[in-house]
Amino acid sequence: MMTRASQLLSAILILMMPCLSVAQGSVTPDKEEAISRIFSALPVEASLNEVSKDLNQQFSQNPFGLPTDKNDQMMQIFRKAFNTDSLSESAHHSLEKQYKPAFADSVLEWLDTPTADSVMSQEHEFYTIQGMRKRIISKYEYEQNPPPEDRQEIVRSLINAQNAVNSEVRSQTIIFRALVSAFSVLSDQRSFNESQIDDIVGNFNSRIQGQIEQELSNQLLLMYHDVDTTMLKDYRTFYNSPTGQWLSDARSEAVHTAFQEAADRFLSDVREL
Amino acid sequence: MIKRLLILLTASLFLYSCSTTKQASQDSNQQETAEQQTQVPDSVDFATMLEPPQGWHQLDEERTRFRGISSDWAYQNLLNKKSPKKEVVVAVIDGGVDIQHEDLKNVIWVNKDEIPNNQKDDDQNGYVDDVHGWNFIGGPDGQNVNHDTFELTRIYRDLHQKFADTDTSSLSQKEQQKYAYYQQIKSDYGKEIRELQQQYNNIESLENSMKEANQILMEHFGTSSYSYEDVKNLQPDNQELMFAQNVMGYVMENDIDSTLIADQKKQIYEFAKYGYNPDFNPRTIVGDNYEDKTERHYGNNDVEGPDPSHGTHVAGIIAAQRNNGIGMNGIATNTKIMVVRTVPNGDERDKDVANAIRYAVDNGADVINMSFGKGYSPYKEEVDRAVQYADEHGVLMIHAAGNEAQNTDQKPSYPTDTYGSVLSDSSATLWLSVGASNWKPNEQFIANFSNYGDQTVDLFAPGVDIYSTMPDNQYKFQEGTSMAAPVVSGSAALIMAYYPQFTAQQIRELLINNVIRYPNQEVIVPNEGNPTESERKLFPQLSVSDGEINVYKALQAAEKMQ
Repeated sequence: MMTRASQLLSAILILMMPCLSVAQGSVTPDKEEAISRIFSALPVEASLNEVSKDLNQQFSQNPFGLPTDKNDQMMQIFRKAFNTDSLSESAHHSLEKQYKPAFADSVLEWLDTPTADSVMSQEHEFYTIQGMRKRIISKYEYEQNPPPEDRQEIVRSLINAQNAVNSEVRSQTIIFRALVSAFSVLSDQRSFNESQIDDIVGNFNSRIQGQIEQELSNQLLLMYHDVDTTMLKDYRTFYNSPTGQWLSDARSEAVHTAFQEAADRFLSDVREL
Repeated sequence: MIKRLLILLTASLFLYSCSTTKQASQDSNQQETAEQQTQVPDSVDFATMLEPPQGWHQLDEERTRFRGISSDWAYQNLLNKKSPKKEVVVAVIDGGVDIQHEDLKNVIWVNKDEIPNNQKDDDQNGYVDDVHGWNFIGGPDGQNVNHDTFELTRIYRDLHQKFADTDTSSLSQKEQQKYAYYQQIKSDYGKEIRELQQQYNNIESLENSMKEANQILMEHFGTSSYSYEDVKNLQPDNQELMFAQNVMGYVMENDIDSTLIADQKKQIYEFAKYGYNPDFNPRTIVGDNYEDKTERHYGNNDVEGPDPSHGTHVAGIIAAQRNNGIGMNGIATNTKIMVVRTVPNGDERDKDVANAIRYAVDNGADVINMSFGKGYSPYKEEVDRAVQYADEHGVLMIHAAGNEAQNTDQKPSYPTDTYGSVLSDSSATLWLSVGASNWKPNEQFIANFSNYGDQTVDLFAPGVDIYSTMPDNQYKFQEGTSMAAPVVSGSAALIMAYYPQFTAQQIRELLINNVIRYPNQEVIVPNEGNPTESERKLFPQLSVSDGEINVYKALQAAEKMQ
């Protein structure tokens, strides 16, 4: 049984260092704190940041062939709409809206396990500069020597457990539609009505559907390159549980909300140009 | 995953509006062809030529339309009744040279004061058994550094160890400045990693598109051996075929094949694994006291090293044995190559560069070829001292301007001829920085990768599709300012061999004052970004001398001067 002093210490640690693991049986954090801890534990912010930076980098190459000044303006608007703080804030709010105390408590408990600790640290590292560097190495090495089939199978079943394919398709569709619409507004040579945009997005969707699973699989194989197979199986087991399902759905919804709100901001500003 | 969105968006829009694009594309091709035909009236069709003849860099423009340095013509018409009067020594500071190559073995410098393999420093120059040169990136046990980190990575690692967890509020003003520098370096390092990742993704996309396009075209033509003309003459009647035509047209025009893609991927992989890896440190192999930047004597005598491909190509351009009926001809005759291995796969270290220059000077080099460079030089004063040493000893230094498509007036590629304030505010006088030119005598005359600079790049020399020696008796086309610098080194050596009375300063002036200027040649200014948005300038605006090296003119001037 915990002493009063240790309970107090746990509470202080939770308050001061929300990312730090807490011992099982510590005081139940309130909603705001629970969401903050879950949000910090998942690499949502880092993954949103990466999307933002990737798109920004590609815009800088002026893929639509817009006049330089227009492309510069579009980049400026994009950076404003898709900045990490705004994306992160939207995702955080969305997660709060989906808060369910029982599931949240259960997730917090799970976050203290060695499996969660190990896998989450790999997920976080994946989005760091060193993680990006290591991705290239692992990707090349996997091309030369593909990972064992059982490893690939675990990753595929994890993708299924997280319903990750549908989530990714939806994310990409939100952003893609915004980009097509923006191009239509900004281009002097081409403009599309809503029906044409629907066609283009529809084509895009049919084009990516078949690829997403493979791409997700490749991505997760890189992300979990240094996680041992037993832990990866434990991780999959968690996502097959009701708590895991709630976390997976809540996270997806948070990301979609962040992208949709950013896309709306982006298009609104583009139309005002 | 999101990263392919814009690529797909562009592709989707392209496919959606394919008929317009097709028309525009045809019009633009016709216009380009018409312009090029106007510019090139003679028989050489540069517009459709995919690869120049071997040795184009030694041709004479008036006779062949190729803007070479006219060395072939000089041998035929200026030097045919003369004999070289001096054996010239060119030090190749590089990654090593295959000294057994059939076209090089007779032109490798031999240190006559050293008895081979007796484990003694016979000439007492501080280097044991340095018969053909020295290796500053090898260890006493014979091991060699192959890969090394980039200088940016080394700086980042050192600063990161110091500042990553620093409480900035407690830093002194001086420390604050260092911290600000750390932030800048951290940002630069991150940018490089992101670009590396982007490059890998782009190559993957191209590889996938190539496979897809090839499959479509094989089905269309009913054979796998379709030609470039087949692809260009195709009249696509559907989007799929148009996609295939565009992709394979681009691939064939740029000589892209699966080997090139595999090589590019491997290079990026090695950059990620070694060059940008802050935890990678192969210096222990060398066994020197790395912190002591004044230490001179370390390394071993293995001048080939594990990967002598770059240095072998460079050496061949300068002095591959002429007229022996095999391979190719170097530019210079009566010239020996002193090999100073200093450059790993990664960035060379300032300490080794300084020692390599001093070694070359002390052991009799007349010219030092430096086909390497980097964006950061933390111990620049050590290199500056060595450069000054070479300058004072009358050794001509030829440096590749770099391949970053940048203006070096604004962003230097080290080493430079300008001394840091530790030494003085002056510059080396026996230095030539060389940009790369192309064999296409049109707006693409400057190589699209070459650095340039009206104040810092002295002249241009051929550096695209240069055919030269490769390890194991092979030959290959290579490109880079790394290839342009030895064109100048070979030219300098050629003049020195026939006119030994001239000082290095005079040789430098002969080269600089006898360039061909092409005053009306508009060129695309090299740019890392979108080529369609590149600035255009007159060729003379991009270098100090305003021109392209021509050894025939320089030799004519030398003849008059004597």
